[in-house]
Amino acid sequence: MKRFENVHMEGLRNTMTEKELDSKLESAGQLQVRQLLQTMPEESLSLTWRSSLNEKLMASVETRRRKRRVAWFLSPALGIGLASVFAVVFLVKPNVTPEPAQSSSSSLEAKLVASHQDSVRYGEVTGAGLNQDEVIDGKSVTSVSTDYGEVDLGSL
Amino acid sequence: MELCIGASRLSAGNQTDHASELAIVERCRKQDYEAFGKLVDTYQNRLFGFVRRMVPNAEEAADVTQEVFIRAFQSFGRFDGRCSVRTWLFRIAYNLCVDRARKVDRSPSEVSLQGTTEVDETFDVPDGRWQPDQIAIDTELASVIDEAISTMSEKLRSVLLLHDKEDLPYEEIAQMVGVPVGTVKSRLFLARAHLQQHLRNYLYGEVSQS
Repeated sequence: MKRFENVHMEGLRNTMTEKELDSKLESAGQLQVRQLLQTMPEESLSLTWRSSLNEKLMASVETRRRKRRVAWFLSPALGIGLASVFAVVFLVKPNVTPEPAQSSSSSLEAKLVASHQDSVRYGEVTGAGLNQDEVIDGKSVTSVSTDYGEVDLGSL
Repeated sequence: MELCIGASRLSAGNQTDHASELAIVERCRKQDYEAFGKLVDTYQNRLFGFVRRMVPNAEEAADVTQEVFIRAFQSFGRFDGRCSVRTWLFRIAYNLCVDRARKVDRSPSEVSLQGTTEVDETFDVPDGRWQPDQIAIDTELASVIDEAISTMSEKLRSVLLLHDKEDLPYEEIAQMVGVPVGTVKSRLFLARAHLQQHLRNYLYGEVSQS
């Protein structure tokens, strides 16, 4: 169809001037087609169609109102929110003093030092040859175990 | 800015005065639901008639017609009054039909136009408004015309309907369709010739049968 139309359109352009085309359009046969078309009966739409359109129009009105309301509500709220976020981030600087970081290696060193000090103390109190379990409250076990009288020895 | 409303068509049959039409348009601009309802009453059948012949089935045509009014209602604020409301509504309808056709990619069946431009003849179509048997014949004739229109391409069909059925001027159709006025005239001539050929086949075919 399109091919035929294009051929005819080209043909019309080549063979007819606009005046000739106008006079052709005013010919009796062409005008009769126009008359026929104008007398064609009109199809009417149902009441269901109309009420459905009304519902859609009302819905669109509601949607528009809601959007406007939300936009009205959100625009200042959004502005204030953004402004306060910027204020917090850029203007209010937190006054925090940096604490010296304790690395895991320093705590190990501290433990080693403490362990060394303990062993020195034990060594001073008990002398060489005693281990940690044999010492109670800085006294040697032997001094504690002499806590008996002569009577006890006699009963043996 | 002066508004061109199309007074003869606004109130199908009843001659509404120009001032009240202007008032309706102004109210529609302010999203007045009632005023818009009057426009719907005025144009719904004409628009449906146009859309019905541009899309394949009646159900789809009814949907498209609804969409035309919804879009018009939503964008009435942008209606500048440079053309008539009627032209504006038909432009929305035309654009929607073209969009829909592009989506569906509907290609009409191929019909030869050979010989259609050479012959220009009139037919004896009787006025059968008051005769029941003639009403039946008219209904049949209308269906033949509808069938002929449906076999045209969208380009010819739209120009034929907008000019001959809806009485829009060449310039407005040219603006709507996006082609020069000369092309509109060529398309109209071809569309009418195509319709003439169909009618000739129908009328003389029937005569030869009887």
